[in-house]
Amino acid sequence: MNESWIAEARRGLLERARGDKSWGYQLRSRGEVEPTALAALALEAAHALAPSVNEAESRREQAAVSDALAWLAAHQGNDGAVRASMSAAPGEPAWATPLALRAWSLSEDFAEPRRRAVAWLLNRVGKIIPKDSPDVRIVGHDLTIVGWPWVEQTHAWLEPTAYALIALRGEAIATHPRIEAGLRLIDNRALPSGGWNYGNSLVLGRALRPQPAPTGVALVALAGQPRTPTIDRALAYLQQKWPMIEAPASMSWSVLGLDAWGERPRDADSRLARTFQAIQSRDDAATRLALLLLAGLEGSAGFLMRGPTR
Amino acid sequence: MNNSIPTTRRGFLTAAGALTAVGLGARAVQRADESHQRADVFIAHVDSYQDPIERSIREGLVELGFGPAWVRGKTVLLKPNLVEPTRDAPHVNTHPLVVRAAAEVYRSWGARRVVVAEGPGHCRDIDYVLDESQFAPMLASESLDFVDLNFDDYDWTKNKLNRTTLGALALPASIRNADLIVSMPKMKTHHWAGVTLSMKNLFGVLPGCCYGWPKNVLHQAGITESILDLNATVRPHLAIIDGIVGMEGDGPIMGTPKHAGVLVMGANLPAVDATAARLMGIDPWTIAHLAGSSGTLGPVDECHISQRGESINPQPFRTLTAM
Repeated sequence: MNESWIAEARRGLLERARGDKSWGYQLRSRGEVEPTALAALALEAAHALAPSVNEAESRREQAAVSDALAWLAAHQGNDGAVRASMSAAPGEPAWATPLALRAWSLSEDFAEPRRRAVAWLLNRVGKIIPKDSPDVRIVGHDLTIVGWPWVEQTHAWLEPTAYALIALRGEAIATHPRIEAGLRLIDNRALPSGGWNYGNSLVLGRALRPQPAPTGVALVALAGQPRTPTIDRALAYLQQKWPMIEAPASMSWSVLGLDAWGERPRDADSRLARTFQAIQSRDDAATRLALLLLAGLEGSAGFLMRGPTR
Repeated sequence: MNNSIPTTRRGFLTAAGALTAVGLGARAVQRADESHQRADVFIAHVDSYQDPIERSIREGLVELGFGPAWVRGKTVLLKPNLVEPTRDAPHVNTHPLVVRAAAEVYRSWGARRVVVAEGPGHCRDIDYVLDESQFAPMLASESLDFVDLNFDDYDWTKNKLNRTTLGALALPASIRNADLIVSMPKMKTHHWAGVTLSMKNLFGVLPGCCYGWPKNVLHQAGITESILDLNATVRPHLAIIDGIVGMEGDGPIMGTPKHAGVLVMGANLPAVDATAARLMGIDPWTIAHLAGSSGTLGPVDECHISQRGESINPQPFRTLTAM
């Protein structure tokens, strides 16, 4: 592990915290749930897996993590979902709630927000289509499997289902029927050629194209499950695609997905370091820095799937 | 003219990222009175991406009555269609050289700022989309700013047409702050909507963080109705369609390349799209959102569209329309 860029990424992430202790998608935009939760997870993973910074920096990181968790708790609604905006607009997104839940599990101080977020998550269901609908024949996947949607009253898709699994399995409720169904949904949405995209496998008889980031997220969510041909094909897709990926988020999720199955690329560290150098000063760097940091820490995939650590 | 490939009945599947557009489609069969509506559309013949695209766009816009006075000091937002990342199928997305050419025209006419913006519907990682679509090197070489509309700050804006039940639409700050919005789609068939041109391209304006990936909220609300609401609320100022190489068959992502050798442009999006549909050999009145635009958003009938530039020489596009 190249510790110099990891240390720089930790500092860079800390410097991007907003005055209200959250992180935004852009340097000057409002705080949002996803970047805040990812930043807390990345800083905590760095603390656990690469405890090499000096004591003052370590204290600063720990304070930032605690503040981020508190910010997330302050944005939890009465229904248990976490939304950046507390406005009553019906479309205000809540899909990052599992990431907040996963971040809260870093501390024992958020048992109640976690309990409410778990309840909300278990009640959130993507719309299904009955097997006897003529529409069923148009897509290649099983529309009766219950998963998680991005937005209320819409269908289940791959990434929100994977995020929910990562969060719920971290809550040590691995045998819940929703988790079982979620695992089935991910398996069912796999592309014949290997890997995943946003969640359509075949439409009108045509197999669609895979993408690295959803494939990596799915492989992390499936970590610990028995290895299947679906997983083998996904790993082969990522290994084949890996040399061509330059985008930080796709690169990071690829490493995390491969790492979760013991296939971390040998050149992961050097390529992540180069990508970090290329993007660190961008206005929209926060989520990218958090993901690069997570990917740069060997064992992060396991960290993402573990339960409470403190 | 029948270029369609028959598919399973019905379709319009919300679960596939599609819709239930049957309601409006049926209503729209009745032609509205659009006799009060007129629009100009310019067709430029551009055989390849190596041709002088900038000159064609400039000439077309001048012919349509636009020039430096229209642009000077303004922020211009160019909205290409970058629906999903693929290096192997460049006909999925608007070609970067068309966007570069448009940016050059606006810059040369004194635009204060030209920005490219998109919120891809099938991929959250905008860096990956830009890499795969070859936009990243173009943006860098031209020093063009790019905004990821999926994660821009947004505000809820009242829906101005209400063909859907979506009372408000989440509009990104970059869209609200732009003086001129230019829809720059690829000329493609669409297996649910018939065609995807400058009007459908506006799906990419709405942030995925509120509508999902794909933007399934819009599919649930009805693709046709959503297209109409979006166009009425955003009110883009211009359309430039990349029809140099378009897509036929199983569009918008799995179809095959189709050389049409045209750019189609104009300030009235329904008129531009209706003209492009005719170029594709498709009757625009069979496209529910075009028929639904007639009488409200713009004219569809040929007799209400003043056509400049090249004459229409249809290049029939095979379609794959689920009925």
